[in-house]
Amino acid sequence: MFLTNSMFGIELSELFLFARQLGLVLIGAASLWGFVLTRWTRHRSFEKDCLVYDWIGAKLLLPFFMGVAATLLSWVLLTSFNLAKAHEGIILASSQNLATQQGEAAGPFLFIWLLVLFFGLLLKKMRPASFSQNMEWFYGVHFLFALFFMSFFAWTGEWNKEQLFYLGHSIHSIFTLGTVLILDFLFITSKFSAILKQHVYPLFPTLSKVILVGLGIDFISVALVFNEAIQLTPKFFFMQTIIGILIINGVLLAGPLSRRMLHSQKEGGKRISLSWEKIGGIAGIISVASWSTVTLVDFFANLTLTYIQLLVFYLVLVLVLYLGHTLMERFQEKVPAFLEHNR
Amino acid sequence: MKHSEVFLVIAGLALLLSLPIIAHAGGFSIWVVAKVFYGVGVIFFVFNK
Repeated sequence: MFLTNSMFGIELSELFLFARQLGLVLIGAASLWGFVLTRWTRHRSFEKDCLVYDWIGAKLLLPFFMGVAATLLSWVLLTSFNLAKAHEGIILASSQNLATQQGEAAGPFLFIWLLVLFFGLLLKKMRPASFSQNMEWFYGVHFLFALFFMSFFAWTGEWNKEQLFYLGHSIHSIFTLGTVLILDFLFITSKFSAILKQHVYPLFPTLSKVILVGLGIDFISVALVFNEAIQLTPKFFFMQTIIGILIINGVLLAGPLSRRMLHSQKEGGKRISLSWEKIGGIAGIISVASWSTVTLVDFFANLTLTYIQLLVFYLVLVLVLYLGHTLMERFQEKVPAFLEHNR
Repeated sequence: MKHSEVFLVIAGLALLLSLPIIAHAGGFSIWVVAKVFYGVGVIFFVFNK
């Protein structure tokens, strides 16, 4: 019963649904980029680069397991759920009964996933060297599981444009919110090591491309249901405002800022100034806040907050993330000796 | 700035500009134009070296 209590039109069950989606998004994105990084090194065969990318790939286990924790905890807490609503504040409600049936049907697959996860962890504990050499397969398998669960929960029972809409909305979050979180994680991880920056910064244009394409997938899926789903609510206007901000902010990050960061890491390149580093940090925070906000607010079908109230929530989130960022940088653990080379 | 970035910035600004127009007149033309600019910008961006 407590799951149906609501405030500002926000149901507790909707929060848990968001938490589960966020968990799956983290698993999917950490697995995707973990696979790319660890697999990539096998082809390049540069000894030192191999070590660095493997180290970074292993670091992505942290957001991966955070995603696992969020997914499992919210799955347990949920007693019923709705399919993901529309993005951009354009609403398409789903059938409660169908969603509940899908939740129950997913149980056996959850068990299989947990078994696979357990064996992976067992291998990591018993034979760490073997796990490290085969990390890309660990990531690859869990990326497929994340994709499967997100698709499963978006399944309506028949193939039509509504189904394509739900699939597009569900899965694109791995490429948008998930990749943004991983990009931010990599940025913080590499902050105090020039060697890490030299390996991580060149990845940023690719990550940015994936994020922008992911948003494009979202735009296309919304276009499929636009006529029947459009509602000019404060939520719609707020979401569109945030999307406008994240496009402009994303261009700044992916364009001029990325170029300065890449140039600063090249041999003979001038060190990026502190003010540009600061701008980069703030742009990253705005990116994370914006993507988190649009994904979160999407889950609330009957939101009663006004446009201004939503805007205040967004600004508070930006501030909280800024403080969180600062704290994370302070507690950033020392890098191994082979990565030490401050610049 | 590169062509792709110009298209994307215009898309973002057009999207923001379209909102008061949607609120008062209900017209989605600029909103749609913003999405088109976004699509073009992303294509340029993806194939940009």
